[in-house]
Amino acid sequence: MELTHFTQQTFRTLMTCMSRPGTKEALQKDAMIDGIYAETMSVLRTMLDGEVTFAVVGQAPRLQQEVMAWTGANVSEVADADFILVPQHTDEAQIVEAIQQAKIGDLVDPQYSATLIVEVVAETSQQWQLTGPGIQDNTIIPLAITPNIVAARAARNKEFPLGVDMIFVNEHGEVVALPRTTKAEGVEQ
Amino acid sequence: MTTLPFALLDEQSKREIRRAILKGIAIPGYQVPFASRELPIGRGWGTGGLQITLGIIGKEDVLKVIDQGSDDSVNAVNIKKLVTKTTGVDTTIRTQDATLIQSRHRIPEVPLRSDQVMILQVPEPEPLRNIERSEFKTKRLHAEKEYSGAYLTLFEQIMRYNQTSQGADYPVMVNERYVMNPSPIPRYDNPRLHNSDALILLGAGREKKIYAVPPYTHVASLAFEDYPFVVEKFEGKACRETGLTDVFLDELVDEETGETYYMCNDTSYMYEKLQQKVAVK
Amino acid sequence: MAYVAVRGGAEAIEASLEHLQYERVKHGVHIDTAALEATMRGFLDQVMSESSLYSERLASLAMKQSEGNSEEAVFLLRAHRSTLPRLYYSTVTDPREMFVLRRISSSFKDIPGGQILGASHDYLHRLLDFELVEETEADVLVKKCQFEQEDVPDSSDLQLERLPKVMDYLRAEGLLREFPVNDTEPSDVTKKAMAFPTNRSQRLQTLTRGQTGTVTSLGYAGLRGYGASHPNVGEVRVGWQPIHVAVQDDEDPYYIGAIKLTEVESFIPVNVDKEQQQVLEFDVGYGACFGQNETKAIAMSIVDHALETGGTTPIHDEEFVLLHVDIIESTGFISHLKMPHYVTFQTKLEQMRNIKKEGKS
Repeated sequence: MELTHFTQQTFRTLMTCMSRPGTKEALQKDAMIDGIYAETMSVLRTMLDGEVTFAVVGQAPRLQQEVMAWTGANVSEVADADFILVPQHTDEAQIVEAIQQAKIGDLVDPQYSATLIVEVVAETSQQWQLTGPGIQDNTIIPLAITPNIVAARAARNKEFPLGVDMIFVNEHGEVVALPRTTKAEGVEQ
Repeated sequence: MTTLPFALLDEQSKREIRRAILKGIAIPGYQVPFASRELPIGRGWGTGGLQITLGIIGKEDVLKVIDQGSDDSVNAVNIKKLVTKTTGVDTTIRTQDATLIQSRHRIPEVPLRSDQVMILQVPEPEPLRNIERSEFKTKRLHAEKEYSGAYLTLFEQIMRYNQTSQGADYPVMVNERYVMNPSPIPRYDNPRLHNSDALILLGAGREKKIYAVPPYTHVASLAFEDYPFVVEKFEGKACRETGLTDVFLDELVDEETGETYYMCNDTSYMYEKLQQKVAVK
Repeated sequence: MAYVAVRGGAEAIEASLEHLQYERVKHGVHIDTAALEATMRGFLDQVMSESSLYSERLASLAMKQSEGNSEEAVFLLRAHRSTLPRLYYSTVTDPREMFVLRRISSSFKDIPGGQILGASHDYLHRLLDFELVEETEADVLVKKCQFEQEDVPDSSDLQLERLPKVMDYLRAEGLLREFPVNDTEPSDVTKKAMAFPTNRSQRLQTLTRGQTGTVTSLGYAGLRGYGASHPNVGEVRVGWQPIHVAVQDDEDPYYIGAIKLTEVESFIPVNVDKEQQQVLEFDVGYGACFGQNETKAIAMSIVDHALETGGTTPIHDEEFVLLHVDIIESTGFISHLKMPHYVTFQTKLEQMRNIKKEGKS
């Protein structure tokens, strides 16, 4: 498929997910690079270009190089990045730290905040109840992130409109988004 | 050089618009600045809405464009023509058949669904502009959630007229945080912003802002306890063609008799009702 | 029926567009875009400057298509610009390297490198030349030959490629107010929306894209009393400015061509506190635009300085200036008033009636 149509479709999927937090949609594959899911690459190619910066959590200079080569985006520190990529198997502690460092914008310009693109595994017993704009009443979704990550996110998003937006991609290429407005609470099994 | 890109804009421009849209969705009611490209139609003629449409539209979309409630008004036709010329997408006048609806000054009468996106053209995105002309200052008023000026304006109207005199573009509070101009839709359409099934995107091309009301978001028109928000009333009036009373009406004058009559403003809805009438007969 | 006819808008538009196309051809006269490109230098320079798109070929096409309407020609070029990917940024280009066609200073009688008048309307009696009505292509060729056969010296001491700047002379003497060198990457307002307060590159970019008449009027207002004071034109230079791009940071930049550029530095006296003593020094107001647009560039230098220094009049107010100089924005919003507004009007009407009926008297 032509890139222009591919990125358009990928964007629409992301737009649906961002405006309807918790909704799970399927992404398509295009290019592949080692170290991240092909569908994560689809997200990167859709959102990144030379006008934005990104950081990769964990030591991954080669991955960083490849993303830069594919998208033209500029590498920065996590604290300055417009997009923060969290590859699969990143330690919980590193993810928490990235969330704590991620920029959240300021009150005048809350859009100067980071979007985290986080790779997760599909298989999980962890359930989250979501509320907020985009959700009718509430919704419960399975999502393989730990309570510490959710707590770090909540702390960063405490003072709306400041906060971080998160996009989760699993190995089946399914995507879920949690904008800063979404409150997530663990559901007892 | 002579072939235009799909949906006119180059990929970089689209990417910037798309990033602004996602931020807008994540911060409901907040005006996200974007660079805003010049388009082949005039700034002030719907370029904000059009940039959103061009930024999100795909081959499979079905587009409806309305201006002042009409699919066939000159500007709606013009915008539709530009989009179809550069994308080849199908268009429709039936609200139910559209996936994307770009509109100036109305939200259709037919309830929108969750698989549809509503795109509103915005001439002036800043609800505080008439009390503060400086963009530097209005941005700080939003930052501090300092909206007493917006309420004061309404209060002064009430003191003077015993009711508000803000016609269309009546300000709303989104997600209990941002006061937002809903674009010059009649007050009649304001309640449709609240808890909408469809995503609503708003674009101001000249003022270079994109903002959003996600679905199922709390949207309240500004009001006072003793002076609640009221929409336009058309008491005792009905559409001359369909007899409908629960719609926004246009006031027209019969050229021959000089009499005032009313017609449904949403023309595609009116046609549908008329066709149903014919079918019943 | 009215232009918001319930049905039939599409047909009406088609007819109007056809009518417009007919207007362009109804006299049965053809003009080549090459002819426009060769003869309409002033118009093309103006629209290229306001369009932020340097192409004489496209500008002459826009001129032909718009029937010589500059507002429309700029519109066409700006819209075309939106469809083009921007692949490279040029490297920093220094007007000291300009191949100068014209260069004057009103501040000094003689300047290092000399006053070079080049081609200018400044010394012209603006009398209609009725002979041009009868001018034929053959006449043009004859005139061209005559000019080209005139004796020109084989060599000259004029150094057109590395002319010193008038400003450097004052700077060497310590008469220019000193500022630290600012080497930050310039912002591009067409890629990222301006936020207030703006930085200098955003201001300069917005002014150079500004509508010629608007920038001129604002500069004039500044000069007449709504600005600081009367500047001296330190230097106006017009010439070919070389442009390079670097594909990769570590390799030598490629020369991609030269653009015609007008550059102005105005000297404006300012009070400066120096070691607890008040002294007078010069500030420099800067103007630069595509093509030969000297009035615009001088006006720009006045407005640039007004915005830099701040003050209480409108030309010191960056929102007032920068949000209103763009031709596409101003003409777009003014002309949008021609669009139907009957829904908003209806809601106002309903309210006025209510207020009359129910409101306090």
